[in-house]
Amino acid sequence: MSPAVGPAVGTVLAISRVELIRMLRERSNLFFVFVLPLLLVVFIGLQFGGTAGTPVGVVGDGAATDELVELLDEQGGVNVTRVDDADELEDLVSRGNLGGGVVVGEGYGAALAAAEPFTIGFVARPDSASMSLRTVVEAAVAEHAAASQAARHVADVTGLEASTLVDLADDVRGEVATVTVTAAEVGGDALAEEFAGLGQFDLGASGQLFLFVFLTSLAGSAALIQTRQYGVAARMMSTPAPTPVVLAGLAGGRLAVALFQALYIIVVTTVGFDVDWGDPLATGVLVLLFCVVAAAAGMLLGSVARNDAQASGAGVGIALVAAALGGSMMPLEFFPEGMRQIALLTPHGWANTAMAEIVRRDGGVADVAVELGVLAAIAVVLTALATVTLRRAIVR
Amino acid sequence: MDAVLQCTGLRRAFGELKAVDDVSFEVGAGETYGLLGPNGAGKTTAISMVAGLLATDGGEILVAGEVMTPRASAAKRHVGLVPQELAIYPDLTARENLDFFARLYGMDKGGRANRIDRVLEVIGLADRAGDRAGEYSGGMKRRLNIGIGLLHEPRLLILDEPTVGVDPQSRNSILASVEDLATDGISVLYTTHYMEEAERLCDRIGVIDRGRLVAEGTRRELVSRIGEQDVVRMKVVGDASAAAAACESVEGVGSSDAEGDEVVCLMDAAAGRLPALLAAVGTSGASVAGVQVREPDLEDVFLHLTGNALRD
Amino acid sequence: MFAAALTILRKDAKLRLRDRSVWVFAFVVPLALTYVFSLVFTGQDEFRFTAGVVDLDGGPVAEGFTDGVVPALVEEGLAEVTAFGDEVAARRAIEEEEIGAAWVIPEGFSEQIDAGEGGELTVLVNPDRSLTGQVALGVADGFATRIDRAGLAVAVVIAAAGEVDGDGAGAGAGGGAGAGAGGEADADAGADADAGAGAGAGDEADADAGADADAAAGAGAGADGGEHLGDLDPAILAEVAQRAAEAGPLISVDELAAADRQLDGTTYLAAGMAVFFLFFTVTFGVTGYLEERQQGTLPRLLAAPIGISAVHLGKALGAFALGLVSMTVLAVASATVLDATWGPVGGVAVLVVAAVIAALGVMALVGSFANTAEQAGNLQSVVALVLGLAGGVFFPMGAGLLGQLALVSPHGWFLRGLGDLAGDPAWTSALPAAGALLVFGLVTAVPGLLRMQRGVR
Repeated sequence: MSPAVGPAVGTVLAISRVELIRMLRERSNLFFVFVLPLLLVVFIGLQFGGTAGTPVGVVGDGAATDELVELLDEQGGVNVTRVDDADELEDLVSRGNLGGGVVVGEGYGAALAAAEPFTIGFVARPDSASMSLRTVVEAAVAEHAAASQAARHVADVTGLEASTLVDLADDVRGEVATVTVTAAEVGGDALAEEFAGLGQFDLGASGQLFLFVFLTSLAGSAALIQTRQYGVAARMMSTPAPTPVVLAGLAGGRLAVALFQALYIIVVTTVGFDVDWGDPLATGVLVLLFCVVAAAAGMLLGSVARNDAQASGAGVGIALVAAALGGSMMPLEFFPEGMRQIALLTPHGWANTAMAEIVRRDGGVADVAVELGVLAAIAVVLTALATVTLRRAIVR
Repeated sequence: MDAVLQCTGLRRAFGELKAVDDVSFEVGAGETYGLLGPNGAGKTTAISMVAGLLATDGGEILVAGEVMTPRASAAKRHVGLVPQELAIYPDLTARENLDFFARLYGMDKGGRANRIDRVLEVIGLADRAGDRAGEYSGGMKRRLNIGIGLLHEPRLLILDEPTVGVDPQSRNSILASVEDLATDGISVLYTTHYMEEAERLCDRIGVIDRGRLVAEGTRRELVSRIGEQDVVRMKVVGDASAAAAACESVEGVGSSDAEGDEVVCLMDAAAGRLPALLAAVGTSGASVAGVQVREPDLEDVFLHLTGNALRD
Repeated sequence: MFAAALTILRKDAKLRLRDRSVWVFAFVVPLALTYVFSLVFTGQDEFRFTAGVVDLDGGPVAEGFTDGVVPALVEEGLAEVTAFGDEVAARRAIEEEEIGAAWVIPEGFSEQIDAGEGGELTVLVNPDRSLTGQVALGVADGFATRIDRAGLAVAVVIAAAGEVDGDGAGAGAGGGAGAGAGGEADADAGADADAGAGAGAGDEADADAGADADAAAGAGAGADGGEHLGDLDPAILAEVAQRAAEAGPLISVDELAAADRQLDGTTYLAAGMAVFFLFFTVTFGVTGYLEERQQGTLPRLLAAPIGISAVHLGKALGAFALGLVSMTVLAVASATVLDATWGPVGGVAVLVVAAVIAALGVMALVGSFANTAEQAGNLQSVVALVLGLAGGVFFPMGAGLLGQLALVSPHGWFLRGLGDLAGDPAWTSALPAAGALLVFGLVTAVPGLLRMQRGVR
């Protein structure tokens, strides 16, 4: 048989178009498809992207406190936040919003200038991470007080005016040879280096891309069930269009929805958040393959589930679990070893691995050939399965 | 006659639209009263007020002497409602559906069980009582829908277009059960836009259009009230025009026209004058091959009263 | 009214139990997600500071570190420290994640210090373990500062002495300080790093002379206009150096303990998921009348001799009960299966009840804007998701603005309340959060109910 190719393509496109329009007409989808992904990209960007380091709060006013804050910041790995008062600081630390806190009381500056003893408060939770931060704070404080401390000793011995000696110590300080401390990085997959080049929102964007393409496809499978329930599917089958064409149209509809979601996220994050998506060809092939997988999974669910509530419920559940397991909520590199293997049971795992290669190591198609191959295989298997079950569901 | 339902000067507006405007009627004990009108005439608004689903803007509703308002529990006990759409829980069995509503009507435990058995019997679902309503056929669901309305032995049963969207067979069984109700002495308020149903079931009919009750009475009263003539249609062999002309001379004939090979006469009291009419045709030289006499129906009445057709 | 409400509750319960989606959303999905998330996210386990030390110097200054600083850390229970023979071994240990960081004291370190040439300490850090790295650097910095202190103090004395012959004064100062501090070092049993530094200086008088001379030369240049000591007394230098070596820090850091009101990772996830899905579980309670309308049964309920309030009450009670049951089941299940620790029963119960009320209120208000059950469901999903995100059910919000965001969300208050309980197990410590949840519930429920009453008519 040789059905005219033109009309067949036209039919497929017509069905696909209607499915896409239906998705866009559903008002709640406006939120789930357009707003939520960006919301998550922003949240994750603010949370995990940008300046890393343990957050430490500092309470206190005056120039001396500012100097101490600067020294603390220089310690590296510490992210200093100014907090208004000690109670708030205690609250933030105890709730884990801050790793630890420093309370610089009134008179710190005066004590330094007069080389008088002074006590600074360090607020910590009773866990070792929090308490260990004290070492970092002590180092900064000791450095800040070095001149005053030297002056105090001299004043005690010589009876000279301490405050004058503090100035003197500040002056000679730069001339005295000191012990320097240097850090050398060892091991660790050089992850920090890898992530250092990432924009604040890059990490969230690629993970969320796969999460939402899959989520939208699976949740959208409810539309397929409505198509079945409303009798539209039967009506389609009663048109002169051959069965394979109708099936292709329904599949095309799911694919159109997935591609739409993917393109939307890519375009908006590129334009709005300056996200780097790497090599266009490699990313393009990867996203296309993933969309096929997602569309096929949606179609499978849509032909297996009994009613639309069941389909969207199961869809959301499956999509979230697969995304979490597959490294779309947290980078795979942060996973415990065993979980990284489990991640590869999901298409997300492969896609995120490939995306890491493409974006962070400037990989091309050849570098992610294995991942693309696996995704293509998943796509073929799922599509075949989905076609068979859908055919059974609508051809009676 | 004790009126089970007395409506006086009912009014209800939705914004600008006067859905029900000064409607008054009564339903007597054991009487089946039909509210006949096209879609959007105000039937559903009227019975919503009667069932206490909707507050009135004015007027009074007395059910078995009790004032009906949305908060009137006493009056509501006397009313059974069968909504137009199926109002059953598909995931509950027939018995569970009945039990639930029986409790809402405050029926005590012993009475409840007996009454539910009885209703199941009446609606013919006794052997399927343990199956979920969702698995029933359309007709069975409809019967259950009506059964729930009968459950608490209401004085007045309100049936809102119970046959809309129902297949002919189920429709017949519904109509038959309404007829049975009447013989049981329950008052029925029945709304429909099918005049055949109103003609078949109702003792009295209120014709409602654009929120107003335009006429009320027995079918005969309504028809005679407008003095509509009978319609006689004769198929003739021979010259139809001549036959029509000959008919005009017969007593009571208002008009007589030839339509192809037929003669159509509009006349008063056709039943007694048919022989004269046939004879008149014979004198014209033509012979009659068939005669059809039609009485005017509610459709004609409605058309006469409102200038609108009953059905769209 | 109450009897009718209970009848409706019973009926709804029956319907819910037959509807598998309730089981799925109230129990299965939250538990499954908690389980999966806890598998994925527990990579961030408890912080343990493990470090290595490589002493290539073996000199007295280095001993100040290995025998002074390190044992102190270990004693405080802050660190586990292993000694390594060479840097290669330490690097390997870091790569194999046996330790998180290592200090390397280079060969000749003590000599350099004695010579006043300064020195360099290297800290090997694993970039994946930034906190460990920070702490290791902090320890090294503190040690370096203490070594520097003695030198600085001496330099100040010299500077204060003004235009004294550099060479002579330097020699005397260095020798004296070294000797004095050296004597002290033994008494101090090497517990203080500075003592070690001083001891080194004493043993190597020659080198010292040069070092201090340098310091003096530099310091003198910058000391114009300062006070003048006149002739530099070596005894003064010795005394200053000794004090610098012995004394504790001028500015001390005192630890103020904050209660730990953090939930452990698994509990946080479990509680977060539970409260997140709670907002879905209760939705039918406030929009059930929309379902009844869709089903066609609403007119029938309204025609029955019960008030519409009985319908609302019945639905709300049902949702309240289901919410409580699902939270309880999730708490018990996550505690037994996943080892989550929700906290003391009394306080958690107060919070759960308040959270269910808040969920009912919020969902009532949201649902009152919908005309169909489907519309209501969509609106409610959107609101539940946004509030959940803001409240940190997926990942905790940090400090600052994002942290404050959690307080506009009942989810955030619920988690905060559990945190308060973790800090103080008395049930009263849950009251502030429970109060906030109740306020959420009431502020939203009242307008919600009013709108719904109007909607039904």
